[in-house]
Amino acid sequence: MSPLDTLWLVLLGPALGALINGLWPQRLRGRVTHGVIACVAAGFAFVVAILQHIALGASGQEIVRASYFTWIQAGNLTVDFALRLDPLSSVMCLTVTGVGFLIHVYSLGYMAHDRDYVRFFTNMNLFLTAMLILVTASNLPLMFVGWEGVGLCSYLLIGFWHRRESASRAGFKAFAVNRIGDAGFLVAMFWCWKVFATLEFHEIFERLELATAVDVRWITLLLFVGATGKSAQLPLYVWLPDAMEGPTPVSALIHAATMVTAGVYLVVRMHPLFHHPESAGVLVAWVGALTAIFAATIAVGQRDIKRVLAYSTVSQLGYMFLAAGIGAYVAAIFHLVTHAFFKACLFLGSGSVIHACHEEQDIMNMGGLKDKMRTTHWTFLAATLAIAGVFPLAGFFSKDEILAHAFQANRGLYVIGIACALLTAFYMGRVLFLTFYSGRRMRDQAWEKVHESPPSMTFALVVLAVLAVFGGLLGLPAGLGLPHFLAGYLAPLLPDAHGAAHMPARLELALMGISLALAIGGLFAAASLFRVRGAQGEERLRKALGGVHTLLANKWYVDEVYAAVVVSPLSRLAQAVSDRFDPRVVDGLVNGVAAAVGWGSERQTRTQTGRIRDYVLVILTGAFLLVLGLIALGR
Amino acid sequence: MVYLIPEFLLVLVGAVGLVIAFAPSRPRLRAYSLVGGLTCFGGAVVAGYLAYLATTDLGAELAATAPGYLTTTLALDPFSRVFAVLSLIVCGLTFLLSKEYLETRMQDHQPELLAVIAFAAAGMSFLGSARELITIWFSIELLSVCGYVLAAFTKDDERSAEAALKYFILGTASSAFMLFGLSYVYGMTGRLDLVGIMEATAGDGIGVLLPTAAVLMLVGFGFKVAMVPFHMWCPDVYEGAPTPVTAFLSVGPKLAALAALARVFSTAFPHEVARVAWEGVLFWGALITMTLGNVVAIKQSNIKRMLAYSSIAHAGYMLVAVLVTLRSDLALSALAIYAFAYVFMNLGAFAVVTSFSNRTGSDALHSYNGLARRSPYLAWAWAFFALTLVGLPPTAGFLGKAYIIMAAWDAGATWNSPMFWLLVVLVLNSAISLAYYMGVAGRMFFKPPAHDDPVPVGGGVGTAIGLCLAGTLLMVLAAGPIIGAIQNGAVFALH
Repeated sequence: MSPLDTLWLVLLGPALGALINGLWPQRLRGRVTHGVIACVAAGFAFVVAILQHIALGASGQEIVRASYFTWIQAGNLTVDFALRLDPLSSVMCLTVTGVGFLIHVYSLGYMAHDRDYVRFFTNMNLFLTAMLILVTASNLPLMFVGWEGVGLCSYLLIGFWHRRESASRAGFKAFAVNRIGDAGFLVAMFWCWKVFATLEFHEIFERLELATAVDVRWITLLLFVGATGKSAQLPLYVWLPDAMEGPTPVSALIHAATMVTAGVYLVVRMHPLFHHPESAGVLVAWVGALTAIFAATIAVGQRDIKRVLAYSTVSQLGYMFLAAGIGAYVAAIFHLVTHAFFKACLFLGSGSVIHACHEEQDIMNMGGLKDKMRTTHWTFLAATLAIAGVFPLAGFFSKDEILAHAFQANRGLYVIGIACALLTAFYMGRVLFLTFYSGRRMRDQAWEKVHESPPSMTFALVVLAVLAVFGGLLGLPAGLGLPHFLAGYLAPLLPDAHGAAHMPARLELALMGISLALAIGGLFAAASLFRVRGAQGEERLRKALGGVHTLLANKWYVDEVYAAVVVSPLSRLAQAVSDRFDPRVVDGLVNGVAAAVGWGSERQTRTQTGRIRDYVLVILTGAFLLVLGLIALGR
Repeated sequence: MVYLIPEFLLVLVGAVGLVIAFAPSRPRLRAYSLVGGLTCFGGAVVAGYLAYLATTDLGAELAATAPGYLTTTLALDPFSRVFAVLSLIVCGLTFLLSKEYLETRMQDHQPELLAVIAFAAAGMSFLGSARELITIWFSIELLSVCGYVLAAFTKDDERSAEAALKYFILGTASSAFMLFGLSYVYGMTGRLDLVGIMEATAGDGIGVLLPTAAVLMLVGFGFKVAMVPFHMWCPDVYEGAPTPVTAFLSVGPKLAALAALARVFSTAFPHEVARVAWEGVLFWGALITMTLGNVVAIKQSNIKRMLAYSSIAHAGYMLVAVLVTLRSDLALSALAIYAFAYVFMNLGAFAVVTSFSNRTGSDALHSYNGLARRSPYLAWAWAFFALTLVGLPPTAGFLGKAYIIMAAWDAGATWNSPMFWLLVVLVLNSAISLAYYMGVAGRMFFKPPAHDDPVPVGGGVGTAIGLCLAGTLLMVLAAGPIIGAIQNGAVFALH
C-alpha cells in the first residue's frame, strides 16, 4: 500500500493527539505524558509527510486526489471532503510538520512549568490538524475549514494566558481583524461558484476560460483581501505584533513559520487565476513591497525582542507576496520555506533568552548573554545572518531570487526590496548585538540566575540553525547554471519554474553582489552602533533619527489611527444602537406584538361566556355562514 | 377477520372491566389498570404488524377473503391499522395515567371509567377505518356517547356535571348538522359507501347541494376536532371533566375525527365543486383554529383550559395535513406522524397535570410555581413536553410539524401562494405557543414555590409520563416505518 492511498494519514496523528489530550478526563500520570503524546503525534505526521513526499516523487504523478465523503450536498452544489497531494502541498506539509515537530519538542521544555500544560499541547496539535487540512484541501470550502481552524487555534493560543487582560485583548484583536479578511475569502468563494459552478481547485483551473476579466480581477482581489488578513499585510497587519502575547513557541510556529504563510500559499495555490493578465497580481506585489518596507522601519524602533521579530515577520511575508504578485511563485514558496527555518529559529532563540532572563523581553535590559548562553547565541547568530541575507546562508538565496525577479519585473519594486534588505540586516543586527553583546545591563541578582536552556529546547534550536544555514541549497541560482531543486520539484505545477534562468549570469552576479553588500553593510552599521556601546548606541540612533524615531517607536501611530477612524466610530454606532434603537424599536416591536397577542387573547376569553345557548348560537351562526357563503360562491 | 384483532381487544378489555366492577375494590382496580394497559400495548404491537401486513401480498389475500359485510363497511388498509395502533396506545396510556386519580379522587365506579375509555377507544379505531356512512355515524356516536358519560363521571362534582351537560347538548346539536348532511348525500346519490358516492358524483350537474351537504358534515366533524367556530365547548368541558378523561378527550375523539375527515372527504368528494368547498373551509378553518387556539391559550390561568386551547391549536396544525390529502402523497403520513407525536406529548402533558392535581387538588397555573424543587421529575418532564409541543428539534413535535410542512410544500406551496402563507402562519403560531408552554416551565423553574412540600409521583402516572417521554424521543425511529406502511399500501384501498 502506497502512502498515496492514505492521504488522510497525515491528519491522523495531530487529530488523535488533540482528541486524546483534549478529552482525557483526568491528567495522565505525569503531565509530561501529554507533551510526549503531542510530540509523537507531530512526529508521526512528519514521517507520513516524508513518506508521501517520496511516494509522490516515485509515482511520477503530478496530483493525487482522494475524496472521502460528500460533505455538503445542496442543490447542484456538491462539496466533497477531498484531499489533494501535489508538489506544492507536499512542500507545505513537510515544512509545517517538520518545523511543527521541532517546536513541539521545544515546548516540552519551554512550557514545562505552565499550569495549563495539557491545554497548550491540545491546542498545538489542533493547530497542526487545521493547518494540514488547509494545505491538503482539494477545494475552497475545505481549505476554508482549515483556514478558520488555524484562525481559531491562533486565537486560543494568543490568549493562552487568558488571565492576562492584554493577552485576551490581543486574541480578540487577531480574531476580529482576521474576520475582515475572511469575509473577502468567503465572497471570493461565492464568486468562484457563480463563475465556475464548482469549488474544486482542478475544476476551477480547467474552466478558466469561463471567467471574464472582471471576474478574475475581483476574485483575485477578494482572495488577496483574505490573504492580507491571515498573512498580516497592509492594511490588516496590526494583529500580528499584538499576537506576541502568546507563548513564544506559538509565536514561532503559528505567527512566524506556518499559519501566517497561509495567505502566500493561497495566492500560489490559486496561481492560475493570479497569472491571468487581468488579475490583481500587480496590487499583490505592491502591497507586499510596501508592507515589507513599512514593517521593516517599525522594527528598527521596537525594544521588545518579540515585537522586532514580529515586524520582521510582517516584512518577510511582504517579500513573499512581492514574489507571488509578480508571478515568481517558486521564489515565494522558497522564501516561505527558508523563512520558516530561520524565523522559527530566531523566535525559539528569543524564547530561550526570555526564559533565561525570567520573562524579560526588553532588549535594552539584556546584553552580554553570549557567554552565558552559548548554544542560543550561536544559533541566533546563524539565523540572523540567514535572515539578513549573508552568503551562503538560506536567506541569501531565497531573497536574492525574489530580488532578481523583481529587478526584471519592475525597478521600483526592486529598489524597495533592496532598501528593505538593508533595514532587515540593520534591525536584526541591532537585536543580535543588544542581546548577546554590548556588556550586561542586568541587575546582578537576575544575572546570576541566567542559564542556558534545557536540551529539549536547544535541540530544536540547533536543528533549525542548521536548516537556516544550509536551507539555501534547496534553490541554488539557476541563472548561474546551478541546480534549483525546489523549482525542479515544483515545475509540473508552477509556471515560472525556470523564470530566473533567462537572466544573464553577469547581471545575476551583480545583483547578488549588491544584496550581499547591503546585508553586510546593515550588519556592520548595527555592529558599529551597538556592539560595544549598547544602550548608548540606541541613544545615538534616536538622536540621529530625531522625530522619525518617535514615529517608528510608536509604529507610525497606525493603531491610533485605526482606533480613531474605524474602531471608535463603530463602537459609538454600536453604543447608539444598543442605547436607542434596540430598546425602542426592536424591543418595542417584540413587546408590541406580545401586547397585541395578549389583548386579542383577553378579548376572546370574554366571549367564552360559559352559557350553552351562546355556544349553540355560535355553532349555528358558523354553519349558516358557511352554507350562505357556498351559495353565494356557487351562483 | 384477523384485521379486527385490535378492535376486538379493546371491546374485550372494556367488557372485562364491566364484569370486574363487581369484584372487591382495591386490588381489582390495580390489576385491571395494569393488565388492561398491558393488553393495549400488546395489541398495539399486533396492530402495528397488521399495518405492515396490509402492505404485503399476504395482507391483500386476507383482505380479499374477508367477509363482504366487513369489507364494505371498514377499510382494512395500512392507514386504518396505523390508527388502530394509535387507539390502543391512547387507551393503554390513559389506563396507566388514570390509576392514581381513580384511587385518590373517586370513591366508586372506578373500573367502569376505564371500561368506558376502552369502548371509546374502540369507537376511535372504528372511526379511523369506517368507509360507509352508517358505520361512520355509529363510530362517531360510540365515541361521543362514551365521551358524554366520561365527562360526567365525577357525578358529585358540579363542574363535571355541567361540563358533561354542555358536551352532551352541543355534541347532539352538531351531530344533527352532520346527520342532516349525511342524509342529503344519501338522498342525492343513493349510495352509502364513500367510493360509491365518489362515483355517483363524478359527472356534472350536481349543483350546490353536494357542497352544502359536505359543509354540513364538516360542522359535525369540526365539532369533534374542535375547529373554530365549533370549538367553544372545548375549554369548558376540558376544565370540568376529570383530568384523565380530559386527557383522553383531548386526543381520542379529535384524532379519530381527523382521520375520518381525511378519509371521507378525500374519498367521497374529490370532484371539483365539493372539493373546492371543503378545501376552502378547511384552509380558513386551519388558519383561524391554530391562531385562535394559541393566542387565547396565553391568557389562561387554569392549566387545563390552557391545554384545551393548545389542543385546539394542534387541531389547526393537523387540519393542514387533512387539507392537502388530495394533493400530496405525504399528507396521510404526515397526519399519522403528527397524530402519534400529539398523543405522546399531549397525554404526557396531561399526565403531569393529573399527577400534580392528584396531590395538590389544584389546576391553577400559579400553583405550579417552583415545581422543579418540589418534584424535579414532573418539572423536567413538563419542560420536555413543552419543547415537543412547541415543535423544537429533535423531538416528535418537530418531526410532525416538519412532515406537515413538507406535505403542504409538496402540495404546491410556492412563494406567495395561499398555502405558503398558511405555512408562515403555522410557523408563527409555533413561536406564539412557546410563550405559554415555556411560561409554565418558567414558573416551575424560576419562581419560588409557595411551600416546599414534595409532590410524589404515583407509579401508574409516573410510568405513563416515562412512556410518553420515550415515545416523543423514539418517534424519530418510528417515522420511517409509518411512512413506509402508509405509502406502500394502497392508500385508502378504494375497492
